[in-house]
Amino acid sequence: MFWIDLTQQARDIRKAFGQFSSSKTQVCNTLKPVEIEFDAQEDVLEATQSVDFDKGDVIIKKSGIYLVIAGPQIAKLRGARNRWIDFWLRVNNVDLPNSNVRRVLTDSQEKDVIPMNAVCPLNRGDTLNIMMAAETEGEGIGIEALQPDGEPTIPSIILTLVQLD
Amino acid sequence: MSSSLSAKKQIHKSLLTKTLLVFFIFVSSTFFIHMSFGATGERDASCHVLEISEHCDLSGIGHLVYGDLIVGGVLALFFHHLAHKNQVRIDKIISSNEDHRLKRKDFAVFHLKSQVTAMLFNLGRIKKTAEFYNAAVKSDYHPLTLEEKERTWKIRTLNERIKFEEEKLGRLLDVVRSTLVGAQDVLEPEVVMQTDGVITFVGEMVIEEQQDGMMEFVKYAVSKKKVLYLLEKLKSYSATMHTFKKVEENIEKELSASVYPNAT
Repeated sequence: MFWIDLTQQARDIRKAFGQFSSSKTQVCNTLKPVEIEFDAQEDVLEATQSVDFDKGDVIIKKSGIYLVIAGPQIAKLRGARNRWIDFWLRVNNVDLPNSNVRRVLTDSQEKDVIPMNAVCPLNRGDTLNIMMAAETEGEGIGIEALQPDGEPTIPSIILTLVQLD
Repeated sequence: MSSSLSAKKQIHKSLLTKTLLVFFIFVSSTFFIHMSFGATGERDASCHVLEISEHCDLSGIGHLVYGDLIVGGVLALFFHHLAHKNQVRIDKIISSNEDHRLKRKDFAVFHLKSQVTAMLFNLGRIKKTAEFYNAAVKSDYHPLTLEEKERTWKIRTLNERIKFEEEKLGRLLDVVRSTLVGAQDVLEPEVVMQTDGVITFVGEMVIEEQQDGMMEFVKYAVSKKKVLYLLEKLKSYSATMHTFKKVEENIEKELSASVYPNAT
C-alpha cells in the first residue's frame, strides 16, 4: 500500500529530473575539447524521469528551465608540472556562455571535485554535453573513477538536472 | 480600372457628405449664437428664462442653451458616426490581419513539417550510404581483377554520393532556417527555439573518416531522435485550432516501453 501511494505521488510530480554518472576514467588524449560520456542513469521512480542519454549526449524530453549541476572528479595520471583543465557546458553543439570552470593540477596525488552549475532554458529534444579540455595531452589529465574498499564507487562525474519551472 | 473609378466616386460622395455636414453645423451654430446674443431683453416678467410658448419670446440664455443643445447633439451624432465608422474599419483591419497571421502560421508549420521530414529522410540516406561505403571498403581486395575494379568504383561513387547528400542536407537546413526566420513572428517561441536547436545540432554534425578508412556518421542516433521530437511537435499542430497540442504526455508511453536500457 505504501509503495502504491509513493508511486502515485511521484506520478503527480510533473517536473523533469535526471541524474547521470560515469564509472569510467576519461582522459584528454587531444588538445581539442573532449565530450564526457556517461554510462549510468540513476533510476529514481522512473515514471517521473523525462531526461534521456546516449553516451555523452543528455537529451531533454520536457521543455523548461533547468538547473544543471555537475561534479567531475579530476585527476592527473603522470607528470609534476602545473597543468590546467577546463570544464564547460554545451547545448545543441554550441558552447554555453559563461559556463567554464578551471582547475590547475600539479601531480598524480592531487584529486578534487570541481562543481559546475548553470541555469538554462532547454527545449524538448535539446542535447546537453559536458565538455573538458586540458593544457596538454600526454599527462593523463581528465576525470577519474575510483573504487575504494568497502565504499561505493566514486564515479568520474555526477551530473544532476532538475527542471525548475 | 472600374474598381478605381468606383473608389473615386465613393471618395467624392463621402467628401460631399462631409462638406455638407460641416456647412450645416457651421450655419446652425452661428445662427443660434447670433440669435442668442441678438435677443432683446423686452420680455414678459412672468415668462421663465427657458420658457418656450406663444406669448413669451425666447430669452438670450434660452437661445444659447437650446442652440448649444442642438449643435452639441448634431456634433455628437457626427463624431459618433465617424468614430463608429473608424472602429468598423479598424476591426476589419484587425480581423484580416489575424486571418493573415493564421494563414502564415499554417503555411509555416506545413512547410516546416515537410522540410523536417525531408531532413530526416536525408539523414537516413547519409547513414545508409555510409554503411554501403564501409561495406565496400571492408570487402576483399583483389588486385588487377574485375572485382577490384567494381570495388574501387563503388568506393568512389559512394564517397561522392555521401558528399552530395551532405551538401543537400546543408541546403535543406538553410531552407528550414529561412522558413523559421520568415515565420518566427507567428510561431510559438518554444517551437522556434526547438527548431533552431535541431538546425544548430544537425548543422554541426560531421561524417568522419576514421583511420581505417571507414566513414562514421557521428551522433546519427541523437540527431534522429531530435528530428523525431520536432516532427512530433509539428504533427501535433491543429489547422482548425491553429495551436500545438501538448506532447509531453507521450513521455509516459515512452517510459513504459523501457527506453532506459542502461539504467542502474
